[in-house]
Amino acid sequence: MNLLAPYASLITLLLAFLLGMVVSYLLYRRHLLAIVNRRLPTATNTGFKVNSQDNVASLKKLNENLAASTRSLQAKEVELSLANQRLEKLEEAKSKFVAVTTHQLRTPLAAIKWTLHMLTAGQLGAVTPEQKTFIDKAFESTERIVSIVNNLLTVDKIEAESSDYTFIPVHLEEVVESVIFELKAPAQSKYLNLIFKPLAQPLPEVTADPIKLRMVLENLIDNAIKYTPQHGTVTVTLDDSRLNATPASVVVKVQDTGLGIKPADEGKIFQKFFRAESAVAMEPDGTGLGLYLAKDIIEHHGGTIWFDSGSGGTTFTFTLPLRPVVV
Amino acid sequence: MKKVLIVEDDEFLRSLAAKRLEQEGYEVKTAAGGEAGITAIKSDKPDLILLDLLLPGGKDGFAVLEAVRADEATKSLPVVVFSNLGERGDIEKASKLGATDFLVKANFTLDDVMAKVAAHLK
Repeated sequence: MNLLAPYASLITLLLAFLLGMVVSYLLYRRHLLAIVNRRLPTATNTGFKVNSQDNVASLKKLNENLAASTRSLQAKEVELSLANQRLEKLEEAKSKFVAVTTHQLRTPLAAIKWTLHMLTAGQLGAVTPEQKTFIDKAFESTERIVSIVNNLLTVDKIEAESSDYTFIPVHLEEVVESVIFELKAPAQSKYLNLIFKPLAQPLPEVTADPIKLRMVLENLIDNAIKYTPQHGTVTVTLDDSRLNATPASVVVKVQDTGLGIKPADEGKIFQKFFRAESAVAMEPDGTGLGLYLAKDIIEHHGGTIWFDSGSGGTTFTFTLPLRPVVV
Repeated sequence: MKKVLIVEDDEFLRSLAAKRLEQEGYEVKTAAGGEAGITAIKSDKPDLILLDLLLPGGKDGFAVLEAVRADEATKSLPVVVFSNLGERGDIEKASKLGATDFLVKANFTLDDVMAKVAAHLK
C-alpha cells in the first residue's frame, strides 16, 4: 500500500473517471430508449418495441389473432356444410313433390282423356257436330296437360339424376349419324336438306354420357328442322379447332336457314319453358325445354353452348371436352 | 267371345274400360284389387288381363303378375300392364316379371287400349 501512495491521487482520479463514464452511459441509454419509445407509432396492435419483452407480447398477440381467424373460418365451413345439406334435402323434397303430384294426377287425367275421347267418338251416345268441336278442344287441352306433366318429369329426372351420368368413350360421328337417321323423315316432309359434314379424319373418342349427348343433338337438330321453312337446309358440322386448347375439346355446330332468333329473345333462349313468339307461331307444340336441357347436359360435361343468329338462320355451337370437366 | 279381365282400383276408369271392351264385343270381368285379381284369374279364366300396377291392399300389380306367371295354366297369358306417368322403373320391373305390353294410362285413349288388346289376342 505504501508503494502506491504517490499514485493515490491518480488512481482516485481514474476511478472517478470510470464511474462517471458508466453512470453517464446508463443515463444516456435510458434517455435514448425514452425517445425511441415515444417517437415510434403505437397505433398498430403489433407495434414494434425495442424491448424484447414487448416483442414476446406482440408475438403472443399475433398468435391470438391467427387462432381467432382460424376459428372463424371453421365456423364458416360448418355453416356452408349445413347450407349444403339443406339444399340436398330441398332437392329431394322437390323430386318427391313432383313424383307424388304427377302420380296423383294420373288417374284423373286418364279419366278425363278417356271420357272425352269416347264422347267425341260417339261411344257414349250421339253427339252433334257442334258438340264435337267443343269436346275436341277440351281433349286438346287434356293432351297439353299430359305433355306438360311428362316434360316436368323428364326435367326433374335429369336434374335429380345429375349424379347418374355414365361417362364412357363415345364416337361422336356415330351419335350424330344415328340422330340424323332418326330425324330424316320429319326433315324430308318439309323438303329440307339434312347434311352431316364430318371431318376427313375421325375425331378422337370423347368421354361422355352417350344417352344425354344424344338428347342434346336431338334437341338441336329437331329445333333446326322445326324452325326452318320448307326447302331450307340444316347442316351438322364437326370441328377439330379446339383439340389443342385447354381443355382439349371437340366442337359441334348445328346450322339452319330458318327463322333466326330475335335479339330481344337472345338472353332467354336457354331458359326453362321459354319459347319465342316466332317459334310458337311456326310450331304450336313445344315445351320450351329442349335448349334448357341441352345447356344443362353440355355444362355438366364441362362444355359450353352458344349460338349466332341472323336473318339467314341460326347456328348453335357447343364444345365438348375430350375428358369431362365435371362440375 | 274372348274374355278380358280388368284389374284396376279406380271405379270410374274400371267402368269406362269395361264399357269400351263390351262395345268391342268382349266379355268383361273386373277386380278392384290384387287379391281379388288373383282369385278372378283362377275362377274366370280370362283370355287377356288389363293390369294396373298400383293396387291397394297387400298385393300390387307386380304381385299379381308374378302369380300369373308362376301358375302353369296362365304362364303365357297375355298381360297388358297399366304403368303410371313417369315411373320408368315400373316398365323395366314389369318387363322382367313377364308383362306382355305396357301402357301409360294418361298417354293413351281407350281406342289405343282396344288396339293393343286385339293385337295380343290374335
